Amino acid sequence: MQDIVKEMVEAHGDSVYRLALRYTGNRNIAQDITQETFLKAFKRINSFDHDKPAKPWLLKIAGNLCKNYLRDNREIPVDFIEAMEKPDQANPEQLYINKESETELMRAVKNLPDKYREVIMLKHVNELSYSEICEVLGLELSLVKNRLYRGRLMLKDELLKQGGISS
Amino acid sequence: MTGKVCPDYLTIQSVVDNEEEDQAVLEHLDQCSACRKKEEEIRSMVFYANQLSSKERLPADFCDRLSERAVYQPFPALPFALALFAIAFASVYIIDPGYLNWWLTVGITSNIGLFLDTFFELLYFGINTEPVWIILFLATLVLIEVIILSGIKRLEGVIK
Repeated sequence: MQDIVKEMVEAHGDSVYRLALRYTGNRNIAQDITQETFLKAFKRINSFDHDKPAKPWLLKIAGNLCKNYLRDNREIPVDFIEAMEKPDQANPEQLYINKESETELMRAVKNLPDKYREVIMLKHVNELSYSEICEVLGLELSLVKNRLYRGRLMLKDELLKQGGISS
Repeated sequence: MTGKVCPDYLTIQSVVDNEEEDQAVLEHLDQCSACRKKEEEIRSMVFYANQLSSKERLPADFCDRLSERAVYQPFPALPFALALFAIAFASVYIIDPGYLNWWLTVGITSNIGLFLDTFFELLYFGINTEPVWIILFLATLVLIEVIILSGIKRLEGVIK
């Protein structure tokens, strides 16, 4: 494997994995998507502009793969969703509560329209700045801000409707 | 932005996300209770959305497993080109050996420069494309040629 792709895995592998995990809710599938992302990057490395940061490029590839996965697997069973590792996770009880909230969270995210979901994911899962989100999605700044606002509002409403996460 | 004009939700959201550093907006938020209420609403939305963040990490052996799959395989341009020419030759020869001469002298060969250029461009294109698409495309071209030549042969038989 080319050294540059190895460096990309070390620098951005976890970020790509978290995005895939949020879209799919399953570690094995997320690892497969992450692998596929880096294999595609490896194949297309000649077309990558080395003066630009790699993270938006990789997340764009990963995002497309995730969307394809969701399109092909519309009905993800609830049991399939795994609890994510959170900073405050301490014991089995907490793990159970997390699993419950994860299910609610996945449902809420799934109910968001795609154009809002992708912005929310990039902002809150990958912690990208506005300008980086613009680069990944090829959108104007004003549109990104707008979608982020509306997406957050919808997500909050969905979660409150389901009562899964308390503030 | 003056201190009296209330910023819109998107501007306040930019402040909450640490993307807006306009001093006038920040000062306004300190002074205006209506805008602070908007800011609290946005912070609440951000709190819910932040539930999406996680500390998950890839397994330690991920890079090794990826390396096993990412073996560089150069596109076999020469064998591929030879195979295609062999198929084209064989297909023409099987239909009628006489057409082989025709094909080499007046048929497609008259535009051979154009075909070669296209062929090599396709090979170059193939570096960044799945080989199966190139093979399918070229195989279609060969098939079209075979059909056309078969048609000509049938037509010639009718005329004779």
